[in-house]
Amino acid sequence: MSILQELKRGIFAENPTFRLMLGMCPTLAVTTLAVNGVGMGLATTAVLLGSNLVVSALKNVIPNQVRIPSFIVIIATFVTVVSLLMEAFAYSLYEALGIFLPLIVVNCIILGRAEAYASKHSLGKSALDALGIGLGFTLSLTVLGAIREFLGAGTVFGLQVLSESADMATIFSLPPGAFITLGLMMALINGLTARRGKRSVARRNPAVAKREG
Amino acid sequence: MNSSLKMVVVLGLIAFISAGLLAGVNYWTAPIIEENAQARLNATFSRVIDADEFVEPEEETEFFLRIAKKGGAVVGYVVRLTGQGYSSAGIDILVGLNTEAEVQGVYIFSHSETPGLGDRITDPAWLSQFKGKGIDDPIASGTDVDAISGATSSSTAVIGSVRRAVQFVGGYLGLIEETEIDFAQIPDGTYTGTGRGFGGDVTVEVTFANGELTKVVIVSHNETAGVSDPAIEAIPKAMVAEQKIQVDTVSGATMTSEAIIAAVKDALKEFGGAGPAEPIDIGSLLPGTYTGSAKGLKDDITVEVTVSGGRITKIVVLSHDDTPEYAEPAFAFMIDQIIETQDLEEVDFYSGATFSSEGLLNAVKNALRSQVKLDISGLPDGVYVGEGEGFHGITRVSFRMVSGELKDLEVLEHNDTPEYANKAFATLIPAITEAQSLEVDLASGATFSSQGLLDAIMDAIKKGPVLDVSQVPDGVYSGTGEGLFGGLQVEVTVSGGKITDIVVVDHQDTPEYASLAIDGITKAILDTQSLDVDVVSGATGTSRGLLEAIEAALKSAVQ
Repeated sequence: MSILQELKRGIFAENPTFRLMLGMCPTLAVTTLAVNGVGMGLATTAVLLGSNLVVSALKNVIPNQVRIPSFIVIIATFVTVVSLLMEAFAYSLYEALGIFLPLIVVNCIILGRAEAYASKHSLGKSALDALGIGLGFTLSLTVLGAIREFLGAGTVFGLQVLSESADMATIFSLPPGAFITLGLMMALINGLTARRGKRSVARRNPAVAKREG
Repeated sequence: MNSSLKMVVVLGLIAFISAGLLAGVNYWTAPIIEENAQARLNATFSRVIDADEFVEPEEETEFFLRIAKKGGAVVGYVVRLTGQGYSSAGIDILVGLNTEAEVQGVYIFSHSETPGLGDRITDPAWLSQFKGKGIDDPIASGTDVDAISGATSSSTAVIGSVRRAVQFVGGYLGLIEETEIDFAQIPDGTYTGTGRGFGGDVTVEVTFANGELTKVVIVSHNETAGVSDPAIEAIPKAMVAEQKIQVDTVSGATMTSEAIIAAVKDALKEFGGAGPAEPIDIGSLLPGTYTGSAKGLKDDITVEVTVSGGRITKIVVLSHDDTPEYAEPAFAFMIDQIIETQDLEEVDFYSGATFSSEGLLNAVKNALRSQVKLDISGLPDGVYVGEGEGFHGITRVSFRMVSGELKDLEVLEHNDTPEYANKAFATLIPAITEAQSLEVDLASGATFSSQGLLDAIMDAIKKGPVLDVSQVPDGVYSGTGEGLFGGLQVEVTVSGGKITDIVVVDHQDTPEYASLAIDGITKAILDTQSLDVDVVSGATGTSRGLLEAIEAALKSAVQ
């Protein structure tokens, strides 16, 4: 698989948010603003990259019986490092992400990738997997955040898009808006994938496509 | 390698390396994080006072306090305190004050008040009304600041907090004397006072017996029923139980608590609630015998103080419970000292018996603060002269005391309208002489003139008998007094009932100043034939010493 394909896989086919449906807690909680989505996504990507690299490097050293505690220690370390760096250098983001920053530790995406991918693949592949999944997560959160911010506050990335006097649908800034947006986005992606899937199946095996069509 | 040993070693190593890594990152970021936090806090503080540095005070303070500095110089203070508004979460308020404890800015740090109603307390226009308020302002809604209608609870909480901040910084800077009242000094009785609460004035009655606070009763209040009940219940009890006024406020009813405390302070303000007690002006005391008591080492010391001619002439300890061998020398020392110096403020205590000494002093003070009934028949014989304020000016009177009887009362001088004043004097003088008392009806239509006459008689009584030179036999008399730097001796020549010459034989004061006093006083006495002359300004010490010496000389003549 080429590098590009490896990255694409995380963004589309195995998109953690819309396809794998992992890491729902931070997804729902922090995506009130587009910038929060970017921040959370990048923080997760950094942790993911670090843990994937270390887990992949140590995959032959860590005994099978203690692999989960080992992974968690490694992940927790990276999360704490990211958290400290963010508090020192990006405080407003640190404050916006709040409790969800330390909770990256228990984000299933990270342990999932460590367990399912990094512990079985080479260093390079694991790094690409982390970047792909991380980018997919970041993009999903950013899109969700942008939509909610636009509908809820009339801004995108803090820039005024709609006139300030416009009557905004505040519900999109509140928790229910997160569920609604996520649901609609998933429906959209599933719809698109289904069509694409049909097309690609049709391209590869016209007979099957015809029969199923 | 043994597989279970490998598990332990690998997991241990991972944990060890992780810990090392974290320690490193923490070491690197901690100062930055700390600095950021400080900068953010300072940025918030800068909203309430124009300063660039905020320093924690060295001592522990009642509220969160930061000393605001600009360019290294102290420009004011930031107080952070919580007000109890509508929401139970409280309102976190920052108040910036300058070095005079005047409000510079108020900022609502955080609050949980109802959006749309209570949250109007964050309105900068409303908060700006506090600017410039200081310790002398009431800072109470409806007087000098406004509450927000529809958000009374929230806004009153802010107002109360600002007032507390001002009082706190005022106290911190020593602008407000926070003296606890010495209960031992309070004569038995019931005192009434008011304080401003949440709903208006709170009136209390405070009862004292034997130097102890025995009862605090809230006579009337307008506080919210239910909310204020705990304070109304608990504060008076706490005051009596703890024998102090500044008791802890009841949370949830802070304003009512403070109102009660303020009302009690108000009731006792004459005993130093608002500051130290007024010093006793011995010179203005009525002659007579005063009785008072105060706590000594063990129990009350009761004294009888005799005042005559504006001086304490005798102090007798009527009863005490202190150990006699220690207390009695102390009493003797104190009594001698008080009579000698006629000073109740700057007093030395007898070493080794401080409590007895202080108790005696307080008993004397309490005695002199009590009221004494004027007993004219007890006044010593002699000629009395005094001044009072009439309708248009000074009224001067004189009278004689002969064997306890007031005689020859006459008006020496007055500036009131003659047709009214003369009528008043014509009725009053016989009435006073008849009754041998000042408790006579004032002449109607000439109240001020009548009052002037009575005041003048009172003044004369307080001053005591004047020395009547005409009664002094001819001769040369010498006397001594205490000048500024030492003893001063005079020789006074009396001839034909008049002072004809005053010679200063010896003095220790600076010649150029002393001669001013000597010339001035001598001339004045020779002119007026009276010792009631003004001291020479710039040479007060010498003047006083000289007058003392002359008086002593003349007294030696009479005896």
